[in-house]
Amino acid sequence: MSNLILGKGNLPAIPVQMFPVVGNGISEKDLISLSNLPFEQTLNQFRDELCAERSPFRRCYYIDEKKDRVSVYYVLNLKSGKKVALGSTIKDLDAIKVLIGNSMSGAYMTSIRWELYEDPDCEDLIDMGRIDQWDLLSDISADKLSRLSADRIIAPRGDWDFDRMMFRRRCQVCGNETSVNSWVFNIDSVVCSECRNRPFLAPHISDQLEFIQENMQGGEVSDKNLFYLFDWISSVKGNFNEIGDKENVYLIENILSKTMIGEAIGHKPGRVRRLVEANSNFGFGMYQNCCAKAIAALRGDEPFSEEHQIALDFVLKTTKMIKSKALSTN
Amino acid sequence: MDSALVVKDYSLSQCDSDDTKILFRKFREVFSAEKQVYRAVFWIEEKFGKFILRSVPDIKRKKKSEDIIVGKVLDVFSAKILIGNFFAGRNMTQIKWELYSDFNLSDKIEEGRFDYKDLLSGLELVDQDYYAQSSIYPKGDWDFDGIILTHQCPKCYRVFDKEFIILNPFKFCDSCGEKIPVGKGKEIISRMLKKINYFPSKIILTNFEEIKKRSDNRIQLYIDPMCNSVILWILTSPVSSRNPQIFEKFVIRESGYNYLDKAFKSSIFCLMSSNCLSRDMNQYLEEIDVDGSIMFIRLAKKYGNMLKNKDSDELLSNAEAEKLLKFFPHFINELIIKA
Repeated sequence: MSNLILGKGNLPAIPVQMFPVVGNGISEKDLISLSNLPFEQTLNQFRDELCAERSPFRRCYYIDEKKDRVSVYYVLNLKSGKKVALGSTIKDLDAIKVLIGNSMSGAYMTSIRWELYEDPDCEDLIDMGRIDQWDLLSDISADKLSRLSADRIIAPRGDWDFDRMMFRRRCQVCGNETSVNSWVFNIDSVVCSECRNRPFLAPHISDQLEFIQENMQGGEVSDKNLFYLFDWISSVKGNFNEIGDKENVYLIENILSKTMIGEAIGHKPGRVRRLVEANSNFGFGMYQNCCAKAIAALRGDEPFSEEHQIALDFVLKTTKMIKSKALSTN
Repeated sequence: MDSALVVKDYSLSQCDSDDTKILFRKFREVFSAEKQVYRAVFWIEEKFGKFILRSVPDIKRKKKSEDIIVGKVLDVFSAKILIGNFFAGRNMTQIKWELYSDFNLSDKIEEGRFDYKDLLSGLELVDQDYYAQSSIYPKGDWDFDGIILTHQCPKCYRVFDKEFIILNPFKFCDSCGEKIPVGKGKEIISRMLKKINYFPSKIILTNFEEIKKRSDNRIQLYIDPMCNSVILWILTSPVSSRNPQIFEKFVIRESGYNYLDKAFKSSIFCLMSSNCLSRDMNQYLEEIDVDGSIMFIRLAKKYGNMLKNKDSDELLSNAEAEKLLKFFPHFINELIIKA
């Protein structure tokens, strides 16, 4: 982003969060952010990029006052004057804004803004803003909102995630409902708070494992696919126990045992020792230690650290090099 | 207390040499508000102590509802911030903004260039915090002249070039000494094309009187740095095959910005290849004190026709591309200084 001047603003304060903006049913400490900024600033940057001033589309509303109540209309066509009644509420701007929000609940409204007018011709503006909870609820106090709700006048209802920023998925292992803010966090880093499965990552890893198993030729595993898998899991500091049910763990361990890495840390490392010593200047000990370190993290025996990542990168690159050298010398 | 706004550490004022300062000062003069041909018109409506900023798409409009609402503002300063936000992410080098206080556009409050100096002029740090509390602060990409895009090294993020106004992607960075990687160069050009093609024609008005007045000296219309940077890159980069039509087919359409026309029309090549180039202008261009300017004028027709002719499969030779790269950035610098 080549912004010359950056706003440092945080999110506007609102009396009630209409949905958990970080996520729900997940372990928050495991989340990996997509940017280096704090959560609120990252979210605010997105809101700034998609601010109301620049919204290409608009939804126009106008009010019709009758005694102490107002009817709110949505203007379908400005030229023909075609309109749809939204409902009626008390003569209060905050209540009208809640009504507008409720009328759009569940809809995707990112590039559209709301404009509220005094007249059907949409000449005299009362207020306008982004269609999100921060613009629609920023001016109302918590007291007032609870009073409106208690008096059964109006309360914000429905799905107010108008930007579709929350990704939702049911955990495949325990059935827990999870959601995460996809604008701010890497969805693969989501860990279910109940069973520590990764609901977004696990299905894809399962598919990959099936693919690898189907394409094993004569018991040989294609390094390319397996390494891609390891890279993917390690990029979000995951381990084998977090990628679905026990069947997946068994499958990946089975595949691992048929690779050079698995052999190196297994009971009979003789073949790999010969390969490493013949095709590289690294000692077999170094290769074996790095394999053990990387696999310990991938099995979840040790928490993933930078050291483990370096060991895994070394193992993946060295294995690739040794195999290609061995192929060319044979 | 920290300010609500952070003016990025990178600015032209950081450039230490006098030549650079003169060049960029001159650039702001050449494209100053008084000399602009295109304008974006806004007006502020006051109602019961509230202020509403509206953009005017057509001066002959009859109703307020024909205007485009930009937002609610607190005063003129906040209105200027919203004007900047309204056009953020676009190339506005050749456009000025005008702010009026009435529907009939008879009472002008202020006008200026689209840059942070004019849009944030007179704003103190304390005021910035005050406006930020009302969610009024610069939002989006305020690099209206593409200065950051053309002068920030994509590798070290410091000043890439202190010498030229346009992007010379084959130069070594003044700060880290590295060249721009080919892929990054393509990305920069794609982003520039996005800014150029974002040209919001519906809300930009043309000052025809000004065009007539300056019909003899209309060089300013053809020295837009971003447009010239794009055309230079296309004519000289191996990625574009040095042929605009091939570039248009395989590179631009991929990224969704499928036309070069706007960049070409604001580049010096358009003027050079024009059949009605006046004798005075020809002489003016030949007098530019850069080695090879006469050669360039001769070759310019070829480049211009390559860009105009959709079926052209002509390619620039290596020698021609090299000459163009050496000569063109100097030429644009001189045009700006002498304009």
